[in-house]
Amino acid sequence: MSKHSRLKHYGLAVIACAVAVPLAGPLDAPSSCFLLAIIASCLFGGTGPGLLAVGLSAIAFNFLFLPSPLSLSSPSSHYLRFGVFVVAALATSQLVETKRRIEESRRRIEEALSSTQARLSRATQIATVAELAASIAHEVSQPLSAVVANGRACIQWLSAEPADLANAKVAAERIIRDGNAAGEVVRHMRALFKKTALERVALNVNEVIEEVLSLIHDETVRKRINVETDLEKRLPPTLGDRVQLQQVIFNLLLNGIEAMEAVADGPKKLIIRSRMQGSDAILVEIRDYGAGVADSDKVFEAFYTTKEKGMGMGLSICRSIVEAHGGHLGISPSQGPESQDSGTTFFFSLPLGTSQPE
Amino acid sequence: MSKDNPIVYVLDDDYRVREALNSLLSSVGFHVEVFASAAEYLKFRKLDSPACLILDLELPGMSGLDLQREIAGGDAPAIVFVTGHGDVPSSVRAMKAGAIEFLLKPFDDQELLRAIDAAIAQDREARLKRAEMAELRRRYALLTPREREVLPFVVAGLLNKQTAAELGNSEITIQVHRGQIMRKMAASSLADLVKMAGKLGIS
Repeated sequence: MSKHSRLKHYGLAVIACAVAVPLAGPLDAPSSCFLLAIIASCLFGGTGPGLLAVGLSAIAFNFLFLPSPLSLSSPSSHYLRFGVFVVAALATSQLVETKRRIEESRRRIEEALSSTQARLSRATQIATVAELAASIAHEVSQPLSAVVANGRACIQWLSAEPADLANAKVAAERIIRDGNAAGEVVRHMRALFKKTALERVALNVNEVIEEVLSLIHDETVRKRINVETDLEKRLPPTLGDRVQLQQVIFNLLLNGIEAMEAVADGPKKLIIRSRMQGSDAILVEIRDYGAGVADSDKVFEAFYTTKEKGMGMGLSICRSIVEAHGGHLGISPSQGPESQDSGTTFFFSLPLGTSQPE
Repeated sequence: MSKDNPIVYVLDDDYRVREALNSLLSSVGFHVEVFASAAEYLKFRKLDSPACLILDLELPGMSGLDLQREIAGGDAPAIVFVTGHGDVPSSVRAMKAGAIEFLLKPFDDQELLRAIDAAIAQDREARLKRAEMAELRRRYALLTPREREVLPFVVAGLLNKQTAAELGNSEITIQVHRGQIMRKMAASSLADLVKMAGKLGIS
């Protein structure tokens, strides 16, 4: 703090007490007026100005508001009154000071927290990219392993004496099939990351769900999660951005998987369901059996997160995507008293036909 | 099929990998059996041939490592692990538990075939050892209680006279026992008998 501003704070204490003096007489409330002056000095000036205000008030109180200034011959009741005033003044200044300190430290903690969060979100992005890369690597390496083995098998069948053309042909056909499958994974991934304006095409929501399920299949197997689907077969096509809807479903499923990470007993199960909502909208529900959500209003806010390493962006992005489609993304917590009914259901609706291609 | 025709069990939950390995391994002359889950593999009645198990680490239900633990000991075939997620702790656990090799997908086919050859060679040896032990135990079971008492003295290199003194028998009786032991154990020499006793843990 500069010398100048410190002087200003002490000046403030003097002014506050000076204002209190003329007001105290007419109002006949000296204690209250001086205490107010002390509070103001403490609040805006700090400890030093607060104590100065206490001193000045005590002097003013002594000379102006006691029947006579204190002396050795003063009656004890005057001493008592003066004493009470000084104690009250000191207590007030200390209380205000304490409150000010608490607020300051809270502000400092909040600042530290937000900078930590910023660093954390960067780390999380890196972790997510690494996880995703591992997942893509696995999705591609399965068909690729098959391609290599089939290729070798094909050569072996051909170089046998006599050549086994039938088996060689089967192996070659599988090479093409699995090579295409690997290419498909790459195309999917490319689409998933491509940033484009909302592109509305007629699509079958069930297909989108299946596509995402095939992407995370490996993850669910690894984590021993049972994925159940209950898809309405006669779902009419809807208009939407395939990639963005994939993102929404992907995000909701990953949330469910993460929510069940800590579940030791009880089912590890994800249920994904599609059905009609009335006659003009499709409803998709994703139910997990995880720990559930404490504050179901807050989860959609950006940067709100309960995960140790989460950015708190997933659900807010999902919501904006669903809303851009004219739908609604919501959450309903566990239903029923049974412990096996714990968990969370996320649902989103997509209106039929009302959204026109742009 | 000859009794020594090696068999390769393939356990992978991805049908593409199963098909491909089935074709590849059949083309190089192995007898192949494929399974989609640990439960299917456990249910299957294993053939009496040198064998190798190609085991995927991540499986629905019982994982590859769980299965390895489950069938450890006994006459489980040698295991070659393949995985799409090679993490160090899993590979360390697998190798410590006796796996022959830990291959990352996509694997090199030559590397896989080499690992299978090594696994089958190891299994063949293990099977021979098991058969030999079974034969020795069968022969040992033929001995009478008295003969089993005499055996340690014989393999310890005691003379018939000394053994007779130790057991309170006549020298001639011990000589008869000794002849019976050599015949029943099908030992060609005393050195041979000592080796057998060593394998059976008798000294």
